[in-house]
Amino acid sequence: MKTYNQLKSFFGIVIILFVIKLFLFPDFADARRGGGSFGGSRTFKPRPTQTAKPQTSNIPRQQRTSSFGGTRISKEQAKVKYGIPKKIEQTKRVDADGNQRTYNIYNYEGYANGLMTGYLMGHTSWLWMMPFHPAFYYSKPYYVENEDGSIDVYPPTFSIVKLIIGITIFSFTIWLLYRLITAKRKVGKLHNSSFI
Amino acid sequence: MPTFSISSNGRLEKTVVFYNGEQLTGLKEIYINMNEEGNFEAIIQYQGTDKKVYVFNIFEDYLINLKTTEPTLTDLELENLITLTIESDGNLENTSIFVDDEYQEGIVSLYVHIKGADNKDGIRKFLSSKYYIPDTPELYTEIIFRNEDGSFNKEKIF
Repeated sequence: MKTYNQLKSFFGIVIILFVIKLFLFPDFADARRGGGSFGGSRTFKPRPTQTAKPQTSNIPRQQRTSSFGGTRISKEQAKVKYGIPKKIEQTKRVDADGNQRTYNIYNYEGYANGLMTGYLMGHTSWLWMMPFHPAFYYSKPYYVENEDGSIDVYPPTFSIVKLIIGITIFSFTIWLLYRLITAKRKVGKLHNSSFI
Repeated sequence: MPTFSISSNGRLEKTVVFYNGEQLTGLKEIYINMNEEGNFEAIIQYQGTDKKVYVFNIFEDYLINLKTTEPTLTDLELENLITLTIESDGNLENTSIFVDDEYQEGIVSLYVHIKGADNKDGIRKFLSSKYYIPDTPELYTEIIFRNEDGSFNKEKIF
């Protein structure tokens, strides 16, 4: 019976750890799959338009769109969300599929801008996925795919959901420490007693 | 004749039990119910040295694998506790009761019920929000005396 309870406790811990991992690192696998500057998966694919302009490369459209992470938004959404940028830098980079792409980097300065640069350079760290790092509380860069094949990149934004997750994790940690300390005190109190 | 003593101040964390002079540990529950009408129940439940849980009659059975320990309280601490001592061979006629070494007479009934907290183990014990020492009293003792004028006195021991 005791062995059964221990097994139950063990599987309980495994399940808890697995759930925590899902909460903490929902895009962990996706970030690695990106392989380069961008991580994550796309939430939706664009509908191919009949008015497509000449491409900057001869790679089929479907193949190119699968290379990117972050979150894709429309140009109108980006305008409403971000407003006028401080400056726009244009750069050409090779994406994860090895295709030459033109990126229009919308620079708004500030911390999020640095994060965006980090994502673009591929200099992300696993620390960014930890709640004690400020990057944890930001989304991935947003991008808008233009009709000419170029991509507008917008900086990450602060995420309230991640803030709540971070507060939850910190609260859990504090509670865990509190339980550790009080559990020791309780054992000490009962040390003199004949009763368990 | 076995001697069974309970020293306590009414709190579980300050309750120590002695059996034939040795301090016991690993106890789960003690239930003693004796009265002059012939009722004689003295039950002890404990976790033995082999981690098994045993239930025995204190004065009639041999308490196997009983866990004992060195005295955990100093003499000074013990002086501040009240000690109930029962000497018996399992028959009411041969049962003597002492409170702080003072022999008691005219007892109508004696009731003692001490129960340790639920012994959750491992992670469940750690995660449990319930205090290991329960806030609700699980230590109850009552002794009823008959006075010379025939009236009764109900007293708590600890």
